[in-house]
Formats: sequence, structure tokens, C-alpha cells
Amino acid sequence: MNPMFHRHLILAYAVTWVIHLGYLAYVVLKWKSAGKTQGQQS
Amino acid sequence: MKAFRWIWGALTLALLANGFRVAMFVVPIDQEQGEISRILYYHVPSWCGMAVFFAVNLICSITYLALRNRNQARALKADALALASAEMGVVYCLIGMTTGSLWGRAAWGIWWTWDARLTTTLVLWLIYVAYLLVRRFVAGPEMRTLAAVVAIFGYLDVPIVYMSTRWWRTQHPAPVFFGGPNSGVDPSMMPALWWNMAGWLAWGIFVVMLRYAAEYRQQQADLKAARSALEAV
Repeated sequence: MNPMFHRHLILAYAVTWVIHLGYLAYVVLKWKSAGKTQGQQS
Repeated sequence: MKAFRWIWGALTLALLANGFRVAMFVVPIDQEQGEISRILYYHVPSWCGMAVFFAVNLICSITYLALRNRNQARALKADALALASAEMGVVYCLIGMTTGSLWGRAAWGIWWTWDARLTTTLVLWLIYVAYLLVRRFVAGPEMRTLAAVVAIFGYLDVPIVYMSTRWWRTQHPAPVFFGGPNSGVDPSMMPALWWNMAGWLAWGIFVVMLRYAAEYRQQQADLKAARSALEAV
């Protein structure tokens, strides 16, 4: 196996991206829900 | 502001892409640990991001407490930034612990050990999760004040985490940076570290900008709803 593809290295990089993108998705949902609340009031 | 945000986002992705390229294909591997040492380039920037955003949370919490009775508009902005930076800090802390655990499994053969560095870090993460829970579940006007006080006390653990490898003997390696004459990484590894530090810090700023804007929007909507309710009485 190519040592470049050490599974712990791949896992570490993948987990970093998954957590960051997951949190970004949560932020986008928050943004949309705040916009919806604002829209309903105006 | 919207254009600035997207320019910043594009710049961030470019920095991260180059950081990945340099970390994976340019810098040499560590002779002792081999390929697994490349986790360093995501592990260390996560801790730097955590330190930066918890410090921002501390400053904003103090600002909120100082301004809450004098300038409510500014105090609310500080509070929104405090929330955004605390969430970002918790995310970085979680990534730091997870990448560290994966590295530990490969290097030491264990996922976790209760040494001073790891334990104080877990406590720090739990403190800021508690801060977010306070914000989520405490009702009433004092929620923000209470959260700011929790944040100030919580930050006391940050210097303890930083100094833990100096004060106690730990499984975690001795300080790599600012650790004395025998510390530091090989200069050939530094470009990957700098690119990834810049990239992940820019990412954190980008996400915090979005989260701050969302929270500010929500605050304005809540204020408007409260005013309408008062006018209806």
C-alpha cells in the first residue's frame, strides 16, 4: 500500500473537513431561519 | 459586505487548497513517524484557531458586560460575536482532539490517555459546550450576562492547557513551539504549517462572519417582535 494513504492520515484530514462542513451547514441553516423570521415580521 | 464575504471565501479555499498541496506533496516526511506526521498540518492549526476564537469570545464577553447598561446596540453586537467565536472555538477544539486521537493511535498505539494535556483540553471543550448550553436553555434577559460570566471563567483553562506540557510530565510530546533550545520542527516543514495555519484561520474568520450575521439578524428579529408585543399591549 502506498504509505501516502496511511489510513489514520486520511481519516484525520477527512474528519476535519466533515466537522467543518457540517458546522458550515448548521450556520447556513441558522442564517436562513433568521432571514425567514425577519421576513415574516416585515 | 456580501461581496467581501465571498471574496474572502474564495481566498480561503485557495489558501486551503495550496496548504493541502504543500502538506501532502511538497514538504518531506518526518524520518521517525513517516507519513502519519502530516497530521501535524491540520492538528496544530486547529489548536491555533481554538486559541484565537476563545480569546475573541473572552474579549467580546467582557465588552458585553461593560456595555450592556450603557450602549445596548453595541453590547448585542459583542454578544453575537461572542457566540459565533465560541462555536468556532468548540469546533476547532473538537477537531484538535480528534486528529490528536488518530495521531496518538498511530504513534503510541492508544486512542486516548488521561494525561494533563489531554484532560485539561477535554475539560476546556466541556466548559465551552456548557457555555453554549447556557445560551441555548437559559431563558430571560439575564442569559447573556450569565453566559459572559461563564465565558470569562471558562477562559481560565486556556493558559492551563497551554502550560500543561511544561508543568507536568505528559504522554503528549513536550512543547514543539516556544519550548526552548531543543524544541521546534525542521525548517523544511514550516511552509506546510504556515499555509495551513493561514488557510484554517481564514476559514474560521469566514464562518464566524456568517454566524455573526445570522445571530445579528436573529437578535434584530427578536427585538422587533418584542417591540411589536409591547406596542400591542
